[in-house]
Amino acid sequence: MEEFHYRIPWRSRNVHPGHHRSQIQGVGLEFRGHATLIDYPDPRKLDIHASLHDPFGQHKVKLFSQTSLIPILVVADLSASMGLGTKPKLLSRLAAAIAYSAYRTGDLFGFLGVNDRIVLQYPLRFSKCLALELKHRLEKGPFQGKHLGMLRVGPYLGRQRALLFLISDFHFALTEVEALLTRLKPHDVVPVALWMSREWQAPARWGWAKLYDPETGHRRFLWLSPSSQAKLACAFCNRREQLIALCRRYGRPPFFIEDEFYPEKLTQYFLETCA
Amino acid sequence: MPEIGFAHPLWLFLLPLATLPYLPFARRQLPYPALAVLTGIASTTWPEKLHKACSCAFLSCLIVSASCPFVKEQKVARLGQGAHIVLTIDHSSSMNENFSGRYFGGSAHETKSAAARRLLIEFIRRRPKDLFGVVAFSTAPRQVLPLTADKEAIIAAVGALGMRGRGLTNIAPGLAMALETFRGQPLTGSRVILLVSDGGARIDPDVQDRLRQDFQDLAVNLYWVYLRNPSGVSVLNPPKRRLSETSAPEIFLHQYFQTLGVPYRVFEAENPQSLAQAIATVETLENRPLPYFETLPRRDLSPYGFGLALILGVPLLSWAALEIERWLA
Amino acid sequence: MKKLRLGLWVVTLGFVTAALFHPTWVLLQPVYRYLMVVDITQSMHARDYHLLGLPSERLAFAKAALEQAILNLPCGSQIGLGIFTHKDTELLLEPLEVCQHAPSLRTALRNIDWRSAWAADSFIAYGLFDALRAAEGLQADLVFLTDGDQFPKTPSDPGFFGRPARGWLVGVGGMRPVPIPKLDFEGRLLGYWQITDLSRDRDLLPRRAELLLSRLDETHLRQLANITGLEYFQLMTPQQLVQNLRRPDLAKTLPTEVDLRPWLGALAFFAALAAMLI
Repeated sequence: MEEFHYRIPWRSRNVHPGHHRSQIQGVGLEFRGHATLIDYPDPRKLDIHASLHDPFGQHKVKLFSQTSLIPILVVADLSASMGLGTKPKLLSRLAAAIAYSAYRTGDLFGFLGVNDRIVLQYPLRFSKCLALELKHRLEKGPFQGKHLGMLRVGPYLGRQRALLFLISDFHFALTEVEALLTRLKPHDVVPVALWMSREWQAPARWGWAKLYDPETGHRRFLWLSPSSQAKLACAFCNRREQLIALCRRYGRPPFFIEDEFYPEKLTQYFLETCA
Repeated sequence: MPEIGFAHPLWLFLLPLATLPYLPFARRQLPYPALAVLTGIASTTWPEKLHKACSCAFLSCLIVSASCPFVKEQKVARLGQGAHIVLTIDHSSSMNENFSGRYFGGSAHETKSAAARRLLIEFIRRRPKDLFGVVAFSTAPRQVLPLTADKEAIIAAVGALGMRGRGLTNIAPGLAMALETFRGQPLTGSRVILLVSDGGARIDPDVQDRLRQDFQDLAVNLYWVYLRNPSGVSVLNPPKRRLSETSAPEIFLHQYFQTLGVPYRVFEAENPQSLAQAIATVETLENRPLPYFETLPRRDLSPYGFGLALILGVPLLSWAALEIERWLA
Repeated sequence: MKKLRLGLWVVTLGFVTAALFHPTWVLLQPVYRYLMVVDITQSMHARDYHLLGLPSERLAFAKAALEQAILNLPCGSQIGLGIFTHKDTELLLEPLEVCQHAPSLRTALRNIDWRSAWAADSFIAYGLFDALRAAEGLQADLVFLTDGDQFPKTPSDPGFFGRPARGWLVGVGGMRPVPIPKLDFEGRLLGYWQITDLSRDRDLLPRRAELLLSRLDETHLRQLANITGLEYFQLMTPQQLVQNLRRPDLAKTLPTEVDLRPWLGALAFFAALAAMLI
């Protein structure tokens, strides 16, 4: 089972102890300040040095922040476009890795599979076997319909700020991406773009294809030649830049998974974005 | 306007199938999720439209070619030299004799009837623009064919006269029937009755008047090819003796024909050579302007159809070869 | 899948290219060569056919039936025409191909007229033998249409010394005696033939004021058919004549080229359709 390390740049408010920095004061290693023994009558944390320096001669105790858990949420796009090629496999691997990592970190994990509506839902829980179950379940997954249900997942996400993995291919209009990110703003959204390099690498140097979008049903004719393939690759480059710029405005840049999922890279992503 | 016909028209019932490329299930499409990404690349629809139109045209071409279209025989009005000729042929028993007057006598000589038939057939073959009709007569006349351009049928009718003739030479009803052939026909060229007989017969005065009237009304020229026995009387050089209508009816017939008031010539033929000469003379005489119809043979259009199908098919084949059938799946 | 499709396309173009070379298949097609001789004597005016849309006169009916035959014989068949009267058969047309010359054949058939008869008597046996000679000369099978009514009645037929022939002796008319119309030269009905109309020197006949009746003399015709080798049938409908004329054992074979292009075109069509739709 693959796993990665994640971290957040904000403080959890969860009272349950966990792995992440939180605003809750309690047993921890992070020093927050001093208080009088009267206020916090815990003589074990008496700070003699601070007490001696106190001009009022009061006894000071050290205060620490506890580490809390955070909810980890996965909102996965199960629309028809995610069913193509290796995407289901990647998706299931990714979801399982997140679930397992959450378990190993000691966080709660919840999953929402969405296409037109929410089709697959695992509420927040702490479970070891969920990772395996997700892995098997998502490979078959009902990949159909459009992604529009993602705009309506807000109420299902809970009140606490969560680390939210938004897994999709983001093959829809940027305005829709923006609308989605706006609605998910209460949470720490990690957009994960599942792409396949085959999408811009045509199988032949010369040729033509009639393409249709399985979600919208739009059709178009595509003539492939070396020059049009360069244009195709360019279109995806532009798209990537636009996505990065857009998501950065809403917090984190997207994490791109192209063809293969490497958990280390995800760890590195968190190191880079939460430095 | 040329008319188009089809040799195997039943194949055309398949023609509606040629629209199948336009039906939705004929579309092969590849699912591709990222169409929204491709907005930067200009979208064209004309190759697809062209491909459909080409497929449809290709299929239609095949069906139409399979039904073997042809341009129907066209009759083109032309102005040429020729005439409407009714061959009025004596088929009496005396025609079975040869020119020497013997009945199947010398095997070296052909009978009058056979010689006349042979030469007439050559004559018909030489005159492709004329219309011919055939009337045969012996005791009673019979119209075999009215004026027609079907030369083979005319030749078959003249050829049928090669059988033994029977009966007497009864000219008047034969002429009357030949004249009837022209009645009601448009007067578009010179009209000729080519009378081939080996003798004459008495014609009643009232019948004479009626025939004269008809000849004049219908403006028919008369050429009499008289197949004479060496022993028979000559109409051109009549013997200087007193003749009666029973002993030499030909002389009187000739005299009567001269009174018809229409162009008339007599040709005496004593042997096949002179008969040929007589027919050649008729040929030179009857060369007046005549509107006639030339039949252009039917033209097969199917090779053009298959050629066009091939011309359309090669790009379609290469187009099919360039199709991408698997991409993401 | 793509290979299959390309294969189908190649096959299609192969068929089209093949069709361009105008391939043909030589088939032996049955064709017929007939000399058709019609009796035009007076008794053929008798009216004893009662079929809707067809003439009732024997001669006109026979002509209508022959016209049907001309229209229904396979292309490549040849038909010659002749008439019979008195003792003789007169040939009108040598055999002509029925498809190309159908208009001429039909005109010639319609032009057959009883007025071409030059004598009122009829001796069927002589006429038939004459027709058989003519048919042999033309290498055609004979179709001889007559009502068998012979006048004057002769006690015996002449002997037949020719070769046995193939063909049909067709009886025209019905079994019931019917009066024979007497027509003037313009074809108008003057009355009916009476026995007393017959010329006086034929004393063998009873002289009574009675209609001269005519019926199909089948016995005599069967007898004639037997001695000449022809087959006999009574003409009922034009279809029956056509059917008998198309009998395979009377067919001659004519090598005809069957055009293969329609089939190649259709194969190409279906291959192309399959390539487009699969």
